[in-house]
Amino acid sequence: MAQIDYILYLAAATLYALSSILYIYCLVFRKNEKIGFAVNSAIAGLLFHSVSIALRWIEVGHGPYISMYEVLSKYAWFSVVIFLLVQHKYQKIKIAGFVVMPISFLLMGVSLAYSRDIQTLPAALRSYWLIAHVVFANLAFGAILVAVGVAVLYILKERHSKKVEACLENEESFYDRLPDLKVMDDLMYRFVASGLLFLTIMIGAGAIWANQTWGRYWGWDPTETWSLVTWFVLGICLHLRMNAGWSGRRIAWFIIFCIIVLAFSVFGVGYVYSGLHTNYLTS
Amino acid sequence: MDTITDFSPGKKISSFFQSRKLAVVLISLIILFSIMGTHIPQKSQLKPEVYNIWKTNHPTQAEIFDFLGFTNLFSSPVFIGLCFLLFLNTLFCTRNMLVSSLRKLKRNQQFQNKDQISGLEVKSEISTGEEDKIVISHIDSVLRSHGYKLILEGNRIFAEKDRYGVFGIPLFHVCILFIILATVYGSMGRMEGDMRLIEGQSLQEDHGNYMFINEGPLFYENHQKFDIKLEKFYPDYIDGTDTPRGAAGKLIISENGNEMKTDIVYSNNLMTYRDYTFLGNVYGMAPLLVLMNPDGTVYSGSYVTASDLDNSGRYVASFDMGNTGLEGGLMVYMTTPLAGVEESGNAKQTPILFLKIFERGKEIYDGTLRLNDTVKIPGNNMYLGFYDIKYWSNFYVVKDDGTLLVYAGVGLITLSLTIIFFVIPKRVWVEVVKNGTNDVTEIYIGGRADKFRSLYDEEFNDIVERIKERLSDGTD
Repeated sequence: MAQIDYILYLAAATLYALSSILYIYCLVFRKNEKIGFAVNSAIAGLLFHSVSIALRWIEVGHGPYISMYEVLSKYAWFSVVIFLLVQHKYQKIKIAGFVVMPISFLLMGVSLAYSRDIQTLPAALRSYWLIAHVVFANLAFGAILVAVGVAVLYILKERHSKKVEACLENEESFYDRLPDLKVMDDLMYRFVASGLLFLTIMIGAGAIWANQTWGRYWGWDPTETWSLVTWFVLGICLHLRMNAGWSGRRIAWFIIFCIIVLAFSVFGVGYVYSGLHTNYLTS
Repeated sequence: MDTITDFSPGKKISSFFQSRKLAVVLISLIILFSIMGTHIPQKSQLKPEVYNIWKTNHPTQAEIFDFLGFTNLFSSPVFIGLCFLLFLNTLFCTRNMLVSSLRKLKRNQQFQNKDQISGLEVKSEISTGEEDKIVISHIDSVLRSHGYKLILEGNRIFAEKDRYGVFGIPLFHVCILFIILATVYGSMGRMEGDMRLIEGQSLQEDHGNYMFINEGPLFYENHQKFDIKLEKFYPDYIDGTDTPRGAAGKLIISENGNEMKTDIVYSNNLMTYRDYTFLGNVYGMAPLLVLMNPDGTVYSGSYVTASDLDNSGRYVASFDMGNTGLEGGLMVYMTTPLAGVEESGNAKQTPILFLKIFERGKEIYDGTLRLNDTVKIPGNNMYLGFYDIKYWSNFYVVKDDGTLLVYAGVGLITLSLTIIFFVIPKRVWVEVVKNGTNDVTEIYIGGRADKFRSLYDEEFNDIVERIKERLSDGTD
């Protein structure tokens, strides 16, 4: 079974890679009609990926949240699931997969650099709060990643609109099939808001779990501190959007900054600092 | 007069603290200091020896950071000051937000005529041959099916849904204030300490019985006089589900000799009694060493708590032997778990004690002892016997009355964020005008959402389409 889950994992990674290539091809060569192939590749990859995670879950006896291999795989899975659901609801932002799929593929690829050895679940991690904590962390990452996809599309479309205004391009464009800038602006706003909501639940569940395990709900551990920093950064982003009149391109760039902070707090902190969270994540 | 009022100190302070720019600046500074706190070694998070190594290796940095209070950054006056300013800022902003939300709630309940509706961003016009009363009844039905509540006045309709969504933002800020207050309240009355218990031992919950204790300023003289007993220790506890839970201790709480509560404490399974929480902590072996006089009478005896500091399975300790001037060092090595020895019954493998005895710093004995062995101390007529061995465990005892309040605050923040971003007040205004010249009824309909306005188009268009369908069905 160990080999089967690994083969399925590789198949999923390959399909994600194919999907990424197709999305980038569609964007660069402005072939909107080919996006269906990219979406289908992502769906096929997700199926393989889901079965692979399920098989490993059965084999190791716990969810994918112990080793870095499992953690990265799980982040990729959640990102793809959230993106596929979102693109199903908002058909016009399908092309945002050109950001989501390569990052998911990258997460899968990096995870392969880590050991696949089965690790026993430490006693401290046997908690339902841990499951809520990690699931909402993944949802937050997925929501912000989709927001980044829309933000990049916003920046590209806005740049194109300026060219059109300056009469540098006037033929019917690929970008015309994207939603209006106002709609994309609202979508970015909504995904960041969802990300903040998920992050809040993640921090809350983590605090309860920490209290049960270590006797305190907050200890300024580097990972805790960085999750609070990320929460504040997302809060500032929404504050600027709601109260300071920031919208469009400025917020789009701010969202790209947000995912950098979030990615660091999820993946980077373990390498820079040592602490309670990081001991098992960097193994 | 207004100008004079504007310059009054009260107004100045109020306008300073309710500034949203101030909020962004303060949050940015808190972020900056938090990041610094993760880079600069914090005394509270490191073992003293690790902190001292860093201090020795970076003397200048350590001196500067110590002087600035950055080695305890999260409890430094600078950081607490920033949090306090943010609290004041949030307090002033919340007051304004509540007032503005209440105003919004009243102001929005107004009817609009066709000219005002035409000025809205999201609007539509429908013409029909139906009677205006029938038209209004169709619109009423469609809007209600979309979850709107309606008010009618003649040929005008005002419909609205999720109107209390306007309180999401003030609620969010109230929650922030609530969490800060709960944290301060909790830390003022907080008590935490480590209590070391040997299997079978019972200690009273009292200041003097803790290995270390930290108490908030409001906690003093507040100790409860109940007894805690470590009934049994399990180095590798397996519960009813056959799931290994790691080390666990069965604790019994009693008051005036009456057993009040019993539970097995292990990771993620803590015990709470009278707001005190008990968590399993480190554990080790405790051999019973008895020092005897030359005639065989007991001079002194106690369990010596030995710790496995490097997870090597070897428990070490040093100890004094009363007023004899003798000191000892020991290492216990267990080849099988103590619990296994007791339960299996036939595997009577005794623990091995590696013992060294010193007299005024000079080693006078180096040997091994097995259970029930006795050794004559060289150059001294006394004997040292090894007669029993038990587990000991430290229990982290904590009392923080703010914890549940903080949880409630986080829950309410989640609720408020859901309200802010997913319970969005939406309004629809309609005016139905009977055009007498061509006997046509004209419907002017417009709508607005407080947030995600461009995404509201979809819902609005659906409402308009449904109205059209109803009207065409009616005509047919």
